[in-house]
Amino acid sequence: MVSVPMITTRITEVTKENDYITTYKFECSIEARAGQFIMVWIPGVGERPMGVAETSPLTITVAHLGEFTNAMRKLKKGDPISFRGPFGNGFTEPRKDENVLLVGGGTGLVPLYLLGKKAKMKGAKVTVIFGARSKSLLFYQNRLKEIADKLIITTDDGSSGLKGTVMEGIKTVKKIDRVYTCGPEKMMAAVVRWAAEKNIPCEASLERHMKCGLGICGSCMIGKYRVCADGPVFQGEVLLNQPDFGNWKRDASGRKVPL
Amino acid sequence: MIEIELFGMRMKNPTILASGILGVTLGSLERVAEEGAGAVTTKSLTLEPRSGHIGPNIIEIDCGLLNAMGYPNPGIEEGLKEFAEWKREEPLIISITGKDENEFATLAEIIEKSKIKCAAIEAALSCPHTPGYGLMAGQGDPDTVSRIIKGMKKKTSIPIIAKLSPTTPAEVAAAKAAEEAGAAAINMGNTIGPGMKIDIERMKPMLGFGRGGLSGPAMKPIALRCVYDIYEAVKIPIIGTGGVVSGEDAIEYIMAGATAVGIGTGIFYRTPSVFRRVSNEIKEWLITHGFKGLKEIRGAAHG
Repeated sequence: MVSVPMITTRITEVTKENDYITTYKFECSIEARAGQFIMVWIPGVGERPMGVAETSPLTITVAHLGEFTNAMRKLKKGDPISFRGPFGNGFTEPRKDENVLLVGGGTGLVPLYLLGKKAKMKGAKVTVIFGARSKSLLFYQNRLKEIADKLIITTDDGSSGLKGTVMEGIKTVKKIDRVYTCGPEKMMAAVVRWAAEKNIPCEASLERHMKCGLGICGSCMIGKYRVCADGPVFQGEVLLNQPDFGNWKRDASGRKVPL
Repeated sequence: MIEIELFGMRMKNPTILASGILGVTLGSLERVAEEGAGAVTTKSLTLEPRSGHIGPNIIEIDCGLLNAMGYPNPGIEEGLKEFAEWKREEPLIISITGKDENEFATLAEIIEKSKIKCAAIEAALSCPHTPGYGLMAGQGDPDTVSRIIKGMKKKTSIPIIAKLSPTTPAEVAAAKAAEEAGAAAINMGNTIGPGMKIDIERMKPMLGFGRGGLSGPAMKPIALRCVYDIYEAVKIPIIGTGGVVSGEDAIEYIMAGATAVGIGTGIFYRTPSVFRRVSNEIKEWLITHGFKGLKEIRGAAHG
């Protein structure tokens, strides 16, 4: 039997979050931990990993940045959509009495939202720092209000919330037991280093060029780790030992390119 | 007890990471070696960088995988820079592939001149799903195999492994041609096919390239039979590759005449620790059956 089959379902709702980001609701539900991902297939275009925003119904939020995600712009309510998954390890869920900090940049916020929702249901206290380049690129404002005991917005241009990077927001938080981060890798590297200095356990979800999702093609390596199968979530101290972390990634051919 | 020697290359066990699985980066080869591989093979390098086929690139089917990666690799120059950092004791095999004998010869020459510490060059002559390469370029034909290996021999003194397909009707003739041309070993084989999987909901082939090579337990009987036949036809050592997931699979290949076994899809079924596990299972089988080493069972299924 095939262990992770291709599933085809339909899109039941398409929500434009802003000019670059769209949320798609599927006609099915899945069992997934926060931080796991699915591989979405568009016949003739390709297959890409996407973080899970909601499991029931399955929901993804996508930034239209490349050929594949721009092809997704054409998808409408009622269209078929195919995916495999979930894949990867996911975040460690916090305990009910913990103060957790979620630091998301751009669509890196998506898996953190699911984690925050699960943490909140357990009774953890959730602080969210959401960084974007500018106010027009923010999204999920209502969703975040549901899960965040404290919400800090940062924008590079100061058009909303604090001016600067998520690190401006981090300066203002106190009494944190666990940190989770997902977003641009240089941002995550800063967050991981901050958590290490403060001796706070930290997990970060990495993005690499993934091709198979099954842990065998070798496209998404960071050091000795397969991001699709050993990750995408890694402990901060593991990442701090990777010379590539925050500095280098690989392109589709495997060539090393700066982040 | 399970250490072997393959054309002078000493290995602590007979498992080799097959080309095309992990192997794009130095880190992935180090990982596999740490997980117990006796030797490692890089992803095949071509003259120019290649991005590979569109996805899905690998799909699971009953008893195996279908893949159409399309030889993604950073090109020989970048690839050699990456693998030049190999410091471990496990032998490093560099896999190459080209469109014709001139490209193979050029690649062999570049490796020879690079002074990289590698135990062998593996010439991939058998991919079933990449236009311009392997079977899609007629490289399964014995005359072509001979021309390519001879051309490489003129440019390098590094031992050459001919990686052949179990899908052509001429696998024994191709192996003999490789031996006569000076190959140090035969690797039998590659994925078989190409095959296809159709997604009935989307009414389309599921692989991005449409067709792809079949690997895993489903193809083992075919590659195993090829190893058996080739063992009777050539004197050079054989690496048996195709569907090795357990120690028992490896022992079957060794009894058919293989000196070592390639493992790739086994990583999917048993994680990268498959190398250590297969080795331990071979050892355990030898002990419980009263054998002292692999030599005692090599080719035992013949005659």
